[in-house]
Amino acid sequence: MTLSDSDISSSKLFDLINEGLSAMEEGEKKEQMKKVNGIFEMRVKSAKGKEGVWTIDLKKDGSVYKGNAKPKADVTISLSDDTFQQLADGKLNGQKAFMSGKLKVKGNIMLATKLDTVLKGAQAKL
Amino acid sequence: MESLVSGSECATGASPLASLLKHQQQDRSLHHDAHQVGPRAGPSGLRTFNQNNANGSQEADHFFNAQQQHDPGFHMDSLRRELEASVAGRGPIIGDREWASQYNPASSSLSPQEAAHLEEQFRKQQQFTGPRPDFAAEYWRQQHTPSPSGFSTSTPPPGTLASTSSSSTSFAPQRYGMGMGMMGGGMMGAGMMFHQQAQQPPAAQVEGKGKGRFIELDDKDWEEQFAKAAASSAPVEEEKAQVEQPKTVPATMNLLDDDTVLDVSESDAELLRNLEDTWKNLQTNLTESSVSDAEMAAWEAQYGSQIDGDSGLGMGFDEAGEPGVTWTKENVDSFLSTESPFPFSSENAYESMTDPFAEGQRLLAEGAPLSEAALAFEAACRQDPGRGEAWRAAGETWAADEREVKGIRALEKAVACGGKDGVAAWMSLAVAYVNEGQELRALATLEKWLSLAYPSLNVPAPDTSHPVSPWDTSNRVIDMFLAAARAGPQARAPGQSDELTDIVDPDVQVGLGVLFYSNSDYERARDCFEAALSVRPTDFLLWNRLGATLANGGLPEEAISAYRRALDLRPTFTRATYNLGVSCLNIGCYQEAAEHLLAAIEGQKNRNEVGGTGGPGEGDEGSQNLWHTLRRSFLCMDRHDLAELAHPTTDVSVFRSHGFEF
Repeated sequence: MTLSDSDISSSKLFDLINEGLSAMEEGEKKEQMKKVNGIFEMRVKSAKGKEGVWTIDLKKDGSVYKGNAKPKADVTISLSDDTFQQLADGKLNGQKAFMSGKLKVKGNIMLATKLDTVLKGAQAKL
Repeated sequence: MESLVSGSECATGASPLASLLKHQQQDRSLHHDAHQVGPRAGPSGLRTFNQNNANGSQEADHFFNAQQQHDPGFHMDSLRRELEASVAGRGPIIGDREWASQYNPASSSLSPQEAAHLEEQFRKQQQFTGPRPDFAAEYWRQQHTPSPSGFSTSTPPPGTLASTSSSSTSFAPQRYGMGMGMMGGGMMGAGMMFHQQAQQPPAAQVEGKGKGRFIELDDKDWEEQFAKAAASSAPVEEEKAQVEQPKTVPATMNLLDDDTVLDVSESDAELLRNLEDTWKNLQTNLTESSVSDAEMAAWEAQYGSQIDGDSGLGMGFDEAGEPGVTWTKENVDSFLSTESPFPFSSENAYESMTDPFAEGQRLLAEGAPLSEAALAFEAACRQDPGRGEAWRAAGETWAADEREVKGIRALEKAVACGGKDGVAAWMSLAVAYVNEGQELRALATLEKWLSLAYPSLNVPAPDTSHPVSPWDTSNRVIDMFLAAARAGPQARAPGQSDELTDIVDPDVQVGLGVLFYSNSDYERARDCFEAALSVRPTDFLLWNRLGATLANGGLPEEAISAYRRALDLRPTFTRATYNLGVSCLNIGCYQEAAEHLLAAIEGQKNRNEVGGTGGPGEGDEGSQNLWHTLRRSFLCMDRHDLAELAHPTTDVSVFRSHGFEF
């Protein structure tokens, strides 16, 4: 069952994230959750004005679902469809997006800085 | 390599000022274009403003009326029409334009006495809360003298403001609230009306206040119109003062006219520096369409976090989720006081040797597995726990072997030993924290390093009067490092490094590189690492860092070249091999990726394990990571059977029979 919303094209990213999480072994998932340790409530708005809400839980169960965070989000990020896609493609990073106002953050802003890592695939190590 | 030095942004190049100028230049150009100052006043400010949106045009009217009494020659009509159109059409953007438009004092409408009076009021205001009152007072003072009636007629806004203000903690004085209200509607007028003139303190305050929320003006016409329309105004003399400012300030002040000078007090200078920080960031990130959004973002960030109570701005949370830890350069060495015993290996053949340290170095040179060399270093540490170089060698070797956590423990011990290795260990620790996602801790660690390496550098204390975003802290530390780069290697504390050239301190470049990297500013990070490499071309750790920067910056092929350089210098460099695998994975070369990862896993085995006399342990986090990425490669190849096998308990040689060469 897909999490995406056909009117909000970047929402298929949620499916991808979810798949990535489910493909992880328990240990790996736990490690990722330990590093990020947050529940992201994502409010994505399409160009036409439709807004959808999804939650990426990287604290309790390590899952992605549609709808508001249960019980409570650590951070709520509001962004446009395009911005979300650009973030995932690596064309934009969290800081740039935030500074230019493309990303609105409510709550634990520290977590917003982790959004990049959540969205990216494998990361190189310094 | 030469081009690296001259071309790099971070390196000081021909003159220590070059890098500064380079940054300044960028600032300047945007200043001229945009003439932008969007002070980021307190969250409540914008909120209240937004609530007063509807009142915007009303206030504008009032303002205009007020103004017109004083400057009948000023043809407001065209301006007003434009304004109103904007107000109607663009809602919050108007407010931002206000913030945004250059705050120019009304020289024509203020006599010297009035100006002095306003300044006095302003100073009084300054005693209240932080940035916002200044801004409000700024505005307030602009408005005050010409027409008090203008204010009183606009009671609804102040009224509402006051009530909304009361909900915000920092809006105590009613007057302040009114100031803010007028700022809403009137600012635009103010911005438009006032010709750029001498009243630097207000302008300076305003900019500083907002913490430099610059927003590009969409309509450059406005500027021209105002410039033309404003009467020739005699500069208000007492406002003008010739003050020597820190180098950073003039660039910021350029957004005012060239002939304006600053009368900026200490706190203003501070604000301007903060301004500069944010400005530097913004200048690279500005987009035209999101004027109000930028403001909103800032507001939401601050306001939202205040409202929610848990300010996760590093104030309440450690990245690992431990509440209450704010990493600063003072407490980042807290591990020193906790003195947890080091988890030494139970069996260590090197302990019986007389000089395990030398043995460790030999092992590294001859290409033995890193874990072996690390074991030797560990023995040296056990023999002499005060030997910083041994701890550092152990820590760096473990990190290179993809055993970050163990590396961190050893580096902490190194730091405790002090000396030049202790100082260097701070830098390695910072890198480790970045890898672990503990960015704030990394920032504090870098600050600590800088305080040890460049003790004579004068750094402004962090502005703790209001919550900062993690990016503010980052920018502050970046500035400190830039200052160190400008100061040049001669300012480095003696005895720490024998690699300094006349111009470039590679460690400062590495620090800057790490800072930019953690901000995802990969282009700048690249410049810095390349600069460092120009001084230390055989530093394989640096080659790997460059590679990681290129990889995460979206240049996997170049990253691969950098990793190969690292591996040429140190073939046993597990981390570089791992990174190579990651890059291959990202470009779709799954077979190769798997092979590199398998090689890395095998490389991690120590002598006992090689030869198959026992599988690797259930794996500390280091090998876990390798296995997980391997598994991912198999999944990408659609080989679920292999993915099933990809566990730390599996003997890696199994995969040879599946057609992988490593």
